Amino acid sequence: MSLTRRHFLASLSLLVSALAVTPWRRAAASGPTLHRRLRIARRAIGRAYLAAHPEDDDAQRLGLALAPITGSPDLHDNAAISFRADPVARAITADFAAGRTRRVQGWILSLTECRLCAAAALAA
Amino acid sequence: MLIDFQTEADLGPLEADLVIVGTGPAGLSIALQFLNTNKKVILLEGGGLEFSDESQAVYEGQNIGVPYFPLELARLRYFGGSAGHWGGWCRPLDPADFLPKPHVPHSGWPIGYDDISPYLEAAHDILDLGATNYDPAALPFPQDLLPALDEEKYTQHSWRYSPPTRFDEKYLETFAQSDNAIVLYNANATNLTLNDDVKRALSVEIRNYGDKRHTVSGDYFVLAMGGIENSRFLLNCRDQIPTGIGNAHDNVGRYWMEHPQLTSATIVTGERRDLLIPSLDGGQDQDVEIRAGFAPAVAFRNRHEILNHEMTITPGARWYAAPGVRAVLRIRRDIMLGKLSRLDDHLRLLISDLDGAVTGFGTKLGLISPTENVTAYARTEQSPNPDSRIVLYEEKDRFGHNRTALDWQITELDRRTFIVALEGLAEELGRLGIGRLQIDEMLLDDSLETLGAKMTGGNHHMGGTRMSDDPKTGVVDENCRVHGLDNLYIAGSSVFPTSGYATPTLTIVQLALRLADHLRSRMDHATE
Repeated sequence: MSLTRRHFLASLSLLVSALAVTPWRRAAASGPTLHRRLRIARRAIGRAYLAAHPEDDDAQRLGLALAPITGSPDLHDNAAISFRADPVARAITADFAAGRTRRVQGWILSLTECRLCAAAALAA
Repeated sequence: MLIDFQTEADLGPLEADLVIVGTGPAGLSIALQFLNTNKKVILLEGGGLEFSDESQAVYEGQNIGVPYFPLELARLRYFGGSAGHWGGWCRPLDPADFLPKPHVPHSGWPIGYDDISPYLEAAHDILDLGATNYDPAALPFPQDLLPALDEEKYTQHSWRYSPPTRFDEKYLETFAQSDNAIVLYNANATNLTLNDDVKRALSVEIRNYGDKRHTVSGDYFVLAMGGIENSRFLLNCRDQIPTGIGNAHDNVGRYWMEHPQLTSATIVTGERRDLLIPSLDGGQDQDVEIRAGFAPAVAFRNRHEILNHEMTITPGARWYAAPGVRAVLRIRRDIMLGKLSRLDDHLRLLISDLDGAVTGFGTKLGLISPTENVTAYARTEQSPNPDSRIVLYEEKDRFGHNRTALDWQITELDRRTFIVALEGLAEELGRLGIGRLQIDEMLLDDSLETLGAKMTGGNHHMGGTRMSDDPKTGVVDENCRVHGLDNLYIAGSSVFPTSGYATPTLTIVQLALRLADHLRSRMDHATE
């Protein structure tokens, strides 16, 4: 593929913009890679989870399942909530302790994480 | 005393109370127990005092099962044996490893943990392992960083590292100075002669690398030739028993095991990644290096019907492995070379993996801890399987013995153990805030062929002459005596009925010391 000046500049500006928003400073300060990764991959994980668990591919049903944890049955609320928010983090820990996990693309994730990812996928 | 059978002109009759074939950790550990006694011991070593191609070539063979290391490279054939290239990782088998399990066919030893644990301290002395302490809570790890695992699910254990002990360097002079032990090297055992009713071994025939032959007689014989060679030798001794010695029930060579192992998962770490430090960095217990690992608890293994298993944690992918990093490096290279034709491809790749680029360069620059992204290296016990075996094929070595065809087989239970054990670890890592674990896709492929092609072993050759109290299901009895033969014994990991996940050398030495005690007791009773 040949690279025109216009393409090059467009790519470069895209790169600069992306670098400007990437949370590299926090990452470099040894912030948790895990949450950064989960945030980035949230929708993709959600899509893979829903493909394997079609029973959760229903915004209303998903909202009812998540409401006791997040306090809201709303899809968009659940799509945006942080995994590190207090009740969510506790639910995730409890899931792991009880073996309520699902395997998604090789990742072993808690059921709560999977459902929050699914909400993000459905809300997109 | 050391005698070179290649050059020594006249040996005269060779007779001993104890004849040991093989001078690796098993054979030498037994012989050490008879030094400075009134028992005459002859050790037969097929190789010399150093590595030689002509000796090593005797080990050549074929792999006809799961892909495996070239057999001539897997073991060393000279004084000191494979201790000349071992890595030094040690820990004893777990008590549960000796027990039969309903979900593991052919499992269970005829002896228990307590039968060999009295030899742990002496084995530690031989292998330079220091204190017999394997409890992470009692070792100099940073105790506040040992994860509070659910003991019903997972445990943390420790490894100890031998320097590693090179038996040739440590013990050659000891045997050279011995009055009652002779090391006869370049002396290749070519046959074992039994008495007329084939109940008793009488002598071993030996050959050097020329035409010289001799016979070594003894009261007791121990084969300590290695985890493949013990079986091969017995199968090749067909002069008096057409199926081979000890093979009345077609067990010789069967139930051959390794420790299947591979990098099995990536762990992306979270807030409590520091709890991996005892596993990543290890520690020092006096002069001995130690390191922690993770293993599923007995209750978890029994509940999920899996084998024993363990994982050590290693630093993750190299900093330059991320696609984003590779893209930056390609951009730099292409700009330097003035080749801009693929620049936008590289930019697209970089933009698609900015996260990887930031993490990679951050790690390279020391701004991000390498513990942020680590991998789990898993090694599993292998299920005892009669179809995983050593057989002979038509090609012969220079002494006329048929060579080994190793038909290593793994089972669905082996594969499932990897996955279930990883899932259990993932749950504990998640619960404790250590991170999330991603199992390698290859393990999730249902095909044993895929797993076989990707995994490797640890050069741990176990089984082939397994221990059993029933001659129909094993080759040696609980004292390592070949069933049906009064005075022929086998030492080494070929007698293991099951393998646990522990590296075999420490158990080999413990069993050798126990066998030495047994032989001494028999000799003492015979002279009373």
